[in-house]
Amino acid sequence: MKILLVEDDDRIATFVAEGLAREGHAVEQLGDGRAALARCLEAEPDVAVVDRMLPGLDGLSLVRALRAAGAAMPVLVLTALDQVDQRVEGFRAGADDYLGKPFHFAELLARVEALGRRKGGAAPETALNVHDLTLDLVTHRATRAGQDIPLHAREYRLLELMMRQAGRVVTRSMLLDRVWNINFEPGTTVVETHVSRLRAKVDKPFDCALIHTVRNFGYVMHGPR
Amino acid sequence: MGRAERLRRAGAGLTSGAAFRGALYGIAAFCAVLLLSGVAVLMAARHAVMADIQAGLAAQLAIVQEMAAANDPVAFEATVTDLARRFAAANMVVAVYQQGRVVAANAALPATPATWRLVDDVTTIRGETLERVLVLSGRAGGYTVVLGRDLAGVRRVSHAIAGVLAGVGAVMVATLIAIGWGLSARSERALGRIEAALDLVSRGEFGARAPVAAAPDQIDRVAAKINIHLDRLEVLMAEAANRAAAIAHDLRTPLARAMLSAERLLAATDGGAEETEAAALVEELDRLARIFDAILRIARIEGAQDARPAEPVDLGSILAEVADLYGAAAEAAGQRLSAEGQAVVAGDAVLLTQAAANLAANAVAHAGPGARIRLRAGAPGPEAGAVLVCEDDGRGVPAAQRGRVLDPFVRLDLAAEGTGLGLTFVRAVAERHGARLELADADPGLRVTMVFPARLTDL
Repeated sequence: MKILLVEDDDRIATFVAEGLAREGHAVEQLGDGRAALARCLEAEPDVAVVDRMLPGLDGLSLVRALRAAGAAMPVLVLTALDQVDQRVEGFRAGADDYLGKPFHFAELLARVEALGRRKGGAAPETALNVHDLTLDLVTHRATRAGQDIPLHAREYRLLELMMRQAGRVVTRSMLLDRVWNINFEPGTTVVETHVSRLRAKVDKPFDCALIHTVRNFGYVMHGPR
Repeated sequence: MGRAERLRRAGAGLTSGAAFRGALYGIAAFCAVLLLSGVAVLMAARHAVMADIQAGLAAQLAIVQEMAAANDPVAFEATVTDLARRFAAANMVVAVYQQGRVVAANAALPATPATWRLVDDVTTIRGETLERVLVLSGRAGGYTVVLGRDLAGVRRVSHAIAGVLAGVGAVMVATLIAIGWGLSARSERALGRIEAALDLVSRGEFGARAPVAAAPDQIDRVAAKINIHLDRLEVLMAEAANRAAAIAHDLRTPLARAMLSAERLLAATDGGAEETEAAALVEELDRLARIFDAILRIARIEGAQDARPAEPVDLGSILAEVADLYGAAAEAAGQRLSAEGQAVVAGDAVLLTQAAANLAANAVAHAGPGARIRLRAGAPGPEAGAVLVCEDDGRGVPAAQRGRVLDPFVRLDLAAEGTGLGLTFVRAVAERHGARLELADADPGLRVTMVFPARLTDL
């Protein structure tokens, strides 16, 4: 993916740029808001990662200007101010995702890749497939190897989110954010227990697991390799 | 609170005011003075009228004595008979005796030695009974003359004076009560405005001030003083909030650098002690970030300067969501978690959700296996506010520790994960909503209740 990184803190910018490059992405790095606006419109990156506080033009104004100019590329806003209302303000300005500092690189990577993925797929999908698991987006039915898997509404949303990102990491905080609309540390192993319930239905009765735990922070769905 | 109750309270407030008490003391003093001076006036008036009557009677007796000396008995007897007739019309009584014989009389008056005396119930020839008569007897030649004057007039004058004094007293008392009530009501209103301003400030509206009149009285001076202190408080709170925001920003950036740096270190290591150490470093930084985030969230709520959040929030649906989120974790810990009830409060849904989540997380972490955790929303009655309750039948918290667990960084169970800020956050959210946070023994277990105010004035 072509990623434009707009961050004025050199060390953070370097860490992030190098990390993304190591994952095989083409990263262009800028430190000034005004220059970034021109570059974004000209280079049309797959994803823009924009810090909120920037010299020249602040992050939210940059996003607003991009949207006003008709640029639709997904934007992830990074910020050292992560108050809830500011988060809402970020989404209103046209940001697609919002990540507070400090963050784990893996979290940023997962979110950037999820955004890059979202951009593709013009035709609306009617079903998601991972190996022999099928999720019908119209009837909300899950079947694996021809067997029906009954799911609660919440389990369905959890599975849908992970299947949409099949092959990519979905972090716990992404799940909390998108399945439960929660932006705080929930205190106990809430996501793990929900995923383990889902596994009991989706993976346990079958011969190979599709939901895999990624180190200590997320999950990835894929078939046997 | 009913209308009658409100009136009773308002009345109690007024009659308890210093101005009203002052008026009462004034009334008591005035009544005592009025009574004493009334008695004095009455006695003086009575004395003056009596002296007048006595002088009149004495003069009349002297005239009769002169007549007795100057005239022959026939002429004298004719004259006193005529006098008795004339006196009867003027409400004066007279009787003239000569050695037991009645010479002339217009009333039944006893023949007594020369003296003053009071005689009751004197019957006149006109058939009237005079209640009390002042009588003067004297010798006039060979005759005994008894002259009397009805005292009903004196009584009437006394009654008139007493009536006027009582009337003046009643009007004065009524006026003083009205003045006292009015002054008390004014102070009460002024104090009420100060109270309302302090209430608003305690609810987080730091801009609220007590109004001060253009021509300040003592209460206004106190109000002005309170306002000065509130100004200072507001400045301090704003400074604290700004400082928190500045610290947040200034620390987050280096923390982000450290985190990314540590992760790169971790990625570069290849097994062994170095990797363990790098992983521990990342974990510590993570923990640091979590604590830091929790402190800032609490600081932000406690330092919030704007008006209390007032969007309608359905506690029932918040609890249902929280129960859904934590249900699986509770089940994994061998517990049961349920949510029930409905109540709508004015507040901030995001904050209340996190507070309810903290309570649920706390119960799941500390109630122990087999516990039943109940989240409940409700409004006990029209006079009481809504409540949000998290109750478990687990290990509970000893009474002595209950107050302490709300303080920051207090962790009773050091083995459990956590920052020790969960309940502190809940308390901050409760205070932000003007709600009271109560920890109680659920016998067994712990019951945490957030009691929302029924009305703003009931704080």
